[in-house]
Amino acid sequence: MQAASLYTGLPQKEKNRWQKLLHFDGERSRIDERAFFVDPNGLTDPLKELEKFVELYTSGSTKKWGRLNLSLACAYPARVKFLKDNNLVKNNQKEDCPDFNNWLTEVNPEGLSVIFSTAYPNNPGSMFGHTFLRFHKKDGKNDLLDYGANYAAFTNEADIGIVYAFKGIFGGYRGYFDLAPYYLKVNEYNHGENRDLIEYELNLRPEQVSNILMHLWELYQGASFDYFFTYENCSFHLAELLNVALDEPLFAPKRWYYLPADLIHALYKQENLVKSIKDRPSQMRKVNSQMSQLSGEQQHLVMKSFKKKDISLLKNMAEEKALIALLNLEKYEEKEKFSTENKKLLRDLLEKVAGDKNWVKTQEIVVPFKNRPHLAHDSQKISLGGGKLDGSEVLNFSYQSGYHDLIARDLGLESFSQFKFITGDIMYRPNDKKIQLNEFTFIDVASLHPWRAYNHQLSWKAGLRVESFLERSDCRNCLRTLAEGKLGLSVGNKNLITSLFFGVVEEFSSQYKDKLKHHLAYEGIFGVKFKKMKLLASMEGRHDLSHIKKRTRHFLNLGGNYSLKRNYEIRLLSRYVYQGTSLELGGQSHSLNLGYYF
Amino acid sequence: MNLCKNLLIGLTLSLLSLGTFAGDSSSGCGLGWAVFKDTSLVSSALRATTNAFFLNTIAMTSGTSGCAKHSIVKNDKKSLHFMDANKHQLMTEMALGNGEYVSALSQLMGCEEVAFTQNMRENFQNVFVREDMPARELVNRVQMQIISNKELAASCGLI
Repeated sequence: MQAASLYTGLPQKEKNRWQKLLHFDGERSRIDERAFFVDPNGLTDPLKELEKFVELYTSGSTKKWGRLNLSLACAYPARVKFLKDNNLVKNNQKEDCPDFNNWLTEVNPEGLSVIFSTAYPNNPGSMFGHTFLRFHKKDGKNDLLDYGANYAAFTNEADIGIVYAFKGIFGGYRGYFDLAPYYLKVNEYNHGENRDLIEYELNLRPEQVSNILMHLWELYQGASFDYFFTYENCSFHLAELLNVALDEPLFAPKRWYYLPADLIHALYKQENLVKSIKDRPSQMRKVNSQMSQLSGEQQHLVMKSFKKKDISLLKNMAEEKALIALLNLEKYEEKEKFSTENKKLLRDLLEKVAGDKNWVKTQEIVVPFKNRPHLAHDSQKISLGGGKLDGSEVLNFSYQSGYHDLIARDLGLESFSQFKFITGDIMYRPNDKKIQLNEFTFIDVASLHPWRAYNHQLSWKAGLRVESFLERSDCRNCLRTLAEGKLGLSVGNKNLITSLFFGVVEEFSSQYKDKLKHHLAYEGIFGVKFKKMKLLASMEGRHDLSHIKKRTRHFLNLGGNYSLKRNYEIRLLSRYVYQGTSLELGGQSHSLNLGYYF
Repeated sequence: MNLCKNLLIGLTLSLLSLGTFAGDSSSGCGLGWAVFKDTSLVSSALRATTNAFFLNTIAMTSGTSGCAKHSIVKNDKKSLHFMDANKHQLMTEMALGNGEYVSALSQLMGCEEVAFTQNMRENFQNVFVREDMPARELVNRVQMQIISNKELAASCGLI
């Protein structure tokens, strides 16, 4: 019988399964290498690919395939399984594939977890973080000895930032899957980049896990993809790999970007797919946890011991543990630059601890961790509401393409952080029946990272946006483009923050005589959050450098955000602008909005 | 330094965090190099991938030719790779007397975990004799400790 007719006779579910094995997407495969396909037209025609595959397999073709020059059956075990499952070929043919079998025996999987790597500390921009897989060894007693699968772009280290960004966005790099011991993945992300790992174990049958691994082998034989940072990225391709074994494909939002968090949210859209969750806290989180158990005086002592390289200053086990954690953090951050002095300090301390008969063995530090990404709101948002602009009633509508702003609930995200892009806010004025653009944000990033004695990191803000002149009631459609960059210091914790920033603000507008105005700026921010509510107040001063005394404006922003559910919020915002050194009120706006994330 | 890095990453690059391969950091050995000989970008990519793939899977399962297939020898490659990648964590956990890294090493060496961990803690200064030590020497020293302790050696199947 012709494969074509066999294919036609297959149930839709199996047709989909074949297409998934080819990574077929409507008109062609996402795999760009023709060598992955056995038929010259296989890249665009799954039927022809099946027909040719069956023909080669049944004829006992000796042609070699893939990077390892293997027989058809050994290079494509998942495809062969597909043929056998659907009785397209005889089921009793045994394949002799020592390479593949050794590899399978070593990985020996019975379960699978999707690993989410959180944002880099103090870098909300890396919310476009990373996801990868962990194959659980059968009877495995230690996760570190499992294997991890990763999809990543192969970049050229010589590429400078802008080239890197350009290539990343426009598919200038190739993307590959790899497989490595899980401890290497933990080293890379958890230790090397100081990121928390959250492991979502999936409820899969061993056969499903095996199918994924078999297909991974096939991809390794000859598949690479154009890497697009925004959509066809690590998480997107990981989802495609998982789809090979899932009855229903994972949900993929129809927008211009795909986030690692989208993959996690997609896992939760399928009933009972997530079996359990495990966390692997970063070293920074461990240090925070150790330090938080010490008094201020003890913390000071630990820091003194660290600076003076003198372990005799430490009085008890808790302090010693804190210094060990701190030195480990230093080691992971400094890597090869970890100083000889610190190496000696750490070794001396560990030798002391090892020889201390009174040392109480404790299990791995338990670090409370609730910030799991599946709890975070989705990334797009629309808001509707109403309010007043200088006493006149207005209606508000806004659309946020992504992802998160300072006042939004940050459960599942970095506390008091902002990564907002492509966001428009328009206003309708019923009085004169006019619509005005209130604000359009290209990008706005902020990280209010608490300064700590053992972690000297500054806070920062940067952004590019267009805003209306709140201080000009005579010119409601007047706009200025604004670029800002500020550095500051924050004190507080994940629930309470106070920050002070200094920086520059550049304003461009046709309303200005010289079009461009340079400002020195400062900004104070105070934020507090409760279980479902967040309050934020900020005061920003902008001083025009050409008339620093006269041309001064202050912007006061007050806001409250109440989360109704994960994706719903009510937000109250007030904005005041004061002009000159006398702080004369120049304009004000108030709004109450209902927001929905999707 | 951190600040500069974070700013740079925050504003441009890591906004575009690709989850890149960490270059071809292999030592130049392994099947990857044997399979792909030229030095083009693509072959370099494949080499990194094949090394990751094979050094840690097939190569690890291939045993050690010419050596007695004793459990500790059979697992030597895995222990060595694990030690090389995790020296720092192992040093800390061996001193503390517990942890998943020291537990994983005891498993790789085929030893009973509690006895292994206790012995390594007691002999910390004999294993980590200096700050910087190559993984090969560390593995040798760990093996020496096992062999010199009859009970532990028995638990590791070394008698």
